[in-house]
Amino acid sequence: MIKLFQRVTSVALVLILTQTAVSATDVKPASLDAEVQDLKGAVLDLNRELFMLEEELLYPANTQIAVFMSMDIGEFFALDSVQLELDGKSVTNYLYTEREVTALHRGGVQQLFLGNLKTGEHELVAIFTGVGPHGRDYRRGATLTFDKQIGAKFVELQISDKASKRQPEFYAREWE
Amino acid sequence: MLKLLYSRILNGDRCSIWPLKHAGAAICIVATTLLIGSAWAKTPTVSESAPDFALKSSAGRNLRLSEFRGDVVIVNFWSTRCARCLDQLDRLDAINAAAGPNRMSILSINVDSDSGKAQRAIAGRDLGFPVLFDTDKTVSRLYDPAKLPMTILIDPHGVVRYIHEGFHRGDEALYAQELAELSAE
Repeated sequence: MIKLFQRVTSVALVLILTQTAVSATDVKPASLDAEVQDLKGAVLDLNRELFMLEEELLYPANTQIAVFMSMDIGEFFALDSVQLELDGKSVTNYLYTEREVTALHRGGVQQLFLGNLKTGEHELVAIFTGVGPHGRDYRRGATLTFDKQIGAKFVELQISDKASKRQPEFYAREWE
Repeated sequence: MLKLLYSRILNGDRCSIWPLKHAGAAICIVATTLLIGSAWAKTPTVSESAPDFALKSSAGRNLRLSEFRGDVVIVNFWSTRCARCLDQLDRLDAINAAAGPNRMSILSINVDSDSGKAQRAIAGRDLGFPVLFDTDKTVSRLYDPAKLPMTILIDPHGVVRYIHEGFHRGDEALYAQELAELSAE
């Protein structure tokens, strides 16, 4: 399915570019620039629409589960990786680069996992590894048991600081 | 299994002319094999986007391929068991040094299960590029290097442009030529 979308996008792009090349001969340079910009915009719009369509098809709203990752301050913990398990099955193991950790520190929210889940009770376990206070290797888990109803389920994992204990805290909670 | 499939196709075929019957069955099998093969093929091919990955590096940091967009990237897969791989590392280091401030990066992926061996192998080499450790073979499964070392040149848009399997003295000149070509685009 993804390949099909990629092919459709590629074909559309080639057609658009070919058309541009053909019409380029009788267009002034200034307007050509504007036209190229318009075409770039059109291609980006088309790509975004295809991406959304693909997501709707692969992860229908009724069965969708999305897990997001965020960080609040995070002074006491240098994040290295997060391993995510759903009902005892590992679904993702994400390694963070410096740039990604910086983005989280600046308030970014990352979509860590997107998948499908049947209705009923489920257990999500997130294992965070990194470097904790005093430069020690740190490995902590956060568990969430939730009931999946019909409709998309959004879960947020968050790392925050517990200033009083000078320790990091790890949460997993549902988005209402 | 192919034999069974072949006989099934033959029995199911209503064509009574023997050569046509067999030709039809053979075509069916070839087509099926090609279809299954293409569906299972994982190795990136030239002109396809290089699959993204993140691995821990020798410097302790995690590095992600997609963060090198804008650079021409050489990704090479190697093992300490392979003498040519170690020879290639030295040659790549020379290419890296010669490239200077050009927008070029090398990501060297060691595929050994024990990263300690790789650490020892690179200890005396003072390489100017990071070595990444694929101890659990996640990236190896993604790229499926058939022969080590495997060297992949990726253009600034993240598209695989050249794939080289194995290494012989003199190949570095070819890499340098391809790098110059991709940098000039």
